[in-house]
Amino acid sequence: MSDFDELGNRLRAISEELAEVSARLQSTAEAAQGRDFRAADPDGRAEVVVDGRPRVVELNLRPDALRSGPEELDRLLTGLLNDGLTQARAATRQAMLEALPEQIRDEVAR
Amino acid sequence: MSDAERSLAALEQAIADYPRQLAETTERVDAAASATVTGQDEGGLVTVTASGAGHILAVRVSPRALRDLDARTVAARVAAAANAALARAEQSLAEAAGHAPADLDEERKMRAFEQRMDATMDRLDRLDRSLDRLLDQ
Repeated sequence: MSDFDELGNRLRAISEELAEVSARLQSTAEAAQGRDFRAADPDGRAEVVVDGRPRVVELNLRPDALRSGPEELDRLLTGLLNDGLTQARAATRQAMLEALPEQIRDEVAR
Repeated sequence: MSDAERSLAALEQAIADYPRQLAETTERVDAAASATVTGQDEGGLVTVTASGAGHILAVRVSPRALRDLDARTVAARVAAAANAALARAEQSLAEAAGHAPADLDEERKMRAFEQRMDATMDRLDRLDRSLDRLLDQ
């Protein structure tokens, strides 16, 4: 077997392994994107549900939240949205890391 | 220069260029992540500002919305504006990273990858045969 045959075989093996990892990551991403994450303010004035993509899939506001004034509403919604988005990103990232081959997981996690 | 030699030279050039391309891409992605994007609801009554990395920076509900709309409608408008901002942030990061447009699905990407691998294998095969011929002479 020539050096090029050997190189060809190695490239073929790498290609097959990449295809397998890619399929696993794709299916993990789809599962993670379908999960819901919920965040609510302690007073119960607002609640947000974010999926793993991450996108806002539901937002509930109690009428008195609107009466708190634009600045307070801004703070409330900004905080809640970031809470839900952070949960969603962290869970999706963790799921994707777990789907990676063990040899490269730590390097990607850095 | 033969096809095989040209292919090898192109491959060597691509490898040599990789660190520079990676540094440039990283710089573009960092700039896009720290830039701000906005999204609005259909009526323009709610504006959400986000960083390119997708962190929500502000949610501005107009006085008119607070006056005229009920809580359920305001909530739906905020969700729409937030999603518009998040989509824009994602798009700007993908563009900075040099990714293909969002409509290029995984299957097409995989097919493109396989085609490139096939082309590489073909080049290696031709190179191998050229070398065999040279050695036979």
